[in-house]
Amino acid sequence: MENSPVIEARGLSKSYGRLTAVDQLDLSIRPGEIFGLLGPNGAGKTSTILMLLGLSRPAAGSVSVFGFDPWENPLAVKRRVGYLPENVGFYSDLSARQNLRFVYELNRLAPEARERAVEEALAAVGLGEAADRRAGAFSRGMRQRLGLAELLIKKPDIFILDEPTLGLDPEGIDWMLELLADLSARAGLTVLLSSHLLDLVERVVHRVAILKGGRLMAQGPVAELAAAASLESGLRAVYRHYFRLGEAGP
Amino acid sequence: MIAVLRKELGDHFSSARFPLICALIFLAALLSVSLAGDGLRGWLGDGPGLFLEGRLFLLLFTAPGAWLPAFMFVAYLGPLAGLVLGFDSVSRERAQGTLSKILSQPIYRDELLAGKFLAGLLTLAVMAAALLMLITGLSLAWLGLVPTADELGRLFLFWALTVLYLGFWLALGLLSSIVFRGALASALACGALWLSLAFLGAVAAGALAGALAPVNDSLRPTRAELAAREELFRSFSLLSPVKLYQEAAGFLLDPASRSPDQSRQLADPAVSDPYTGRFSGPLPVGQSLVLLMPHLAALLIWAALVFHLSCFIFSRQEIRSSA
Repeated sequence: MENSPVIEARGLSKSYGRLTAVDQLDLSIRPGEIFGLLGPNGAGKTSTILMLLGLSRPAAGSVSVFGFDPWENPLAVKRRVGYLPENVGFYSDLSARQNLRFVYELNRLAPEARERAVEEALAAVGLGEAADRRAGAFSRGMRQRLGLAELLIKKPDIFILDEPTLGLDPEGIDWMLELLADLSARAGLTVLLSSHLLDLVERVVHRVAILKGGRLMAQGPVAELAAAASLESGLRAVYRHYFRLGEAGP
Repeated sequence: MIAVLRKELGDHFSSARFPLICALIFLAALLSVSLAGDGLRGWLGDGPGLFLEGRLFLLLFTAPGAWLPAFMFVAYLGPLAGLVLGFDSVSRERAQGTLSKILSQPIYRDELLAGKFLAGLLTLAVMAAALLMLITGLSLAWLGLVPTADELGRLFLFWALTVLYLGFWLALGLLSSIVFRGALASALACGALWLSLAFLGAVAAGALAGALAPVNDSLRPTRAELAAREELFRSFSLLSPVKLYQEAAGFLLDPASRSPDQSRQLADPAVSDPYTGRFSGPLPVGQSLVLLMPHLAALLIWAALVFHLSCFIFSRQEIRSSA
């Protein structure tokens, strides 16, 4: 039971017109781990994430999150999963605090605990000072922080983050990765993050999946993948090796 | 849904569009009272006479004045208010990246649409009420016209009918904001819909009726041929919500008006029953309400159809945060 996957995809496929975005993908993500979905732009990372969240309907295959099909039973999944999209948006006329309140209310959480939860989430991402400024005036880094606060406030069991480090300065990246590692270690949070920045991801992920053209090239702990291909350890070498597998074929 | 409703209401009332629409409402009220009032003053001076007793106030809405009667303004321009509130409500969220955020919270897609629709409808209801009350107030102050209880009842029903009618257009705007990703494309589509439904509907109905019920000798059409064509024309034109609203508003605001079926009976001695209805006076509110029940039902069905189509399309869309 301990290690039965919280997210499981079998034969997951999605195509847009003649373009196959996701092709027969099998994924399994275990509770409490930080899982990296790696691949270049256009490898199908975002399309996969959308199907895991029930925001897009798989053309074939199945998804199960906590045992629920996200398309058929979206609320059961969305209550327990927090999603930070690649370009997270806010109501630019509302303050950071008001944006957070709205997310809190959408989750139908206890109204009397709202203000404290908002305060805590703002403090956790270091936006206490800017809480009453318009979200429209926020820098990229502040937007990512506010986006994370919106995840924290609903206290999900799974974080799904699409390119969370994109556009952040090095300090911001360090801060975000530390926060995720900390949450995973202390609160048993499961994290699925997609990225094409290997060096950053390597510091925190437990297991990775390497995607190319919508297909899964490899899945597992970085060290195991390295050993299997008798490579020196290091995500970059592993990634390069598995990414080129397809090209060697006939 | 309540959270969405509350936020959207706040958005509507604090948006830059709101004062603009309010200014338009005020101008419309001013214009209709002063235009219709000019005509009414003449009648008032002569003494209204028995026939108009108790209907003077409503004449404000139906008197043609210098241009069109006030309720026709609402029929033609009211849709714009509904469309303006709806045309970018979903596409805006899509563009600013909040849609995927909202829909990754535990809320059904239908709930989001329902919240947006109800917030828009409430806003429109407030606007319509403000317009009617402004007209009432101005007519009290300028013309000294005091509405009777019957007229107030009719005014209230007219308000409800107008809200329903505007709700249809709001739903249409919402649908367009779901189908079209860009606000500009949606706005153009809404404009085209408005033009074609409001102004070309009657032309299309006329063409259809002409094609389906041709007249053999165009110089000397027979009475039966004309009647058949007229019948078809009315049926086709009543498919349009604009026409539905106009006819229903006519029943409400003019107590003496009858449905065209009855009028035709009156005009055609072969069909009419000489002992009833020939010299009928104004109808009580309840009777007028009976007349417009089919119109209310048809408008409601139109609005519900459009809204459900929106839900259907929206529930199958992929929600991707735009780059």
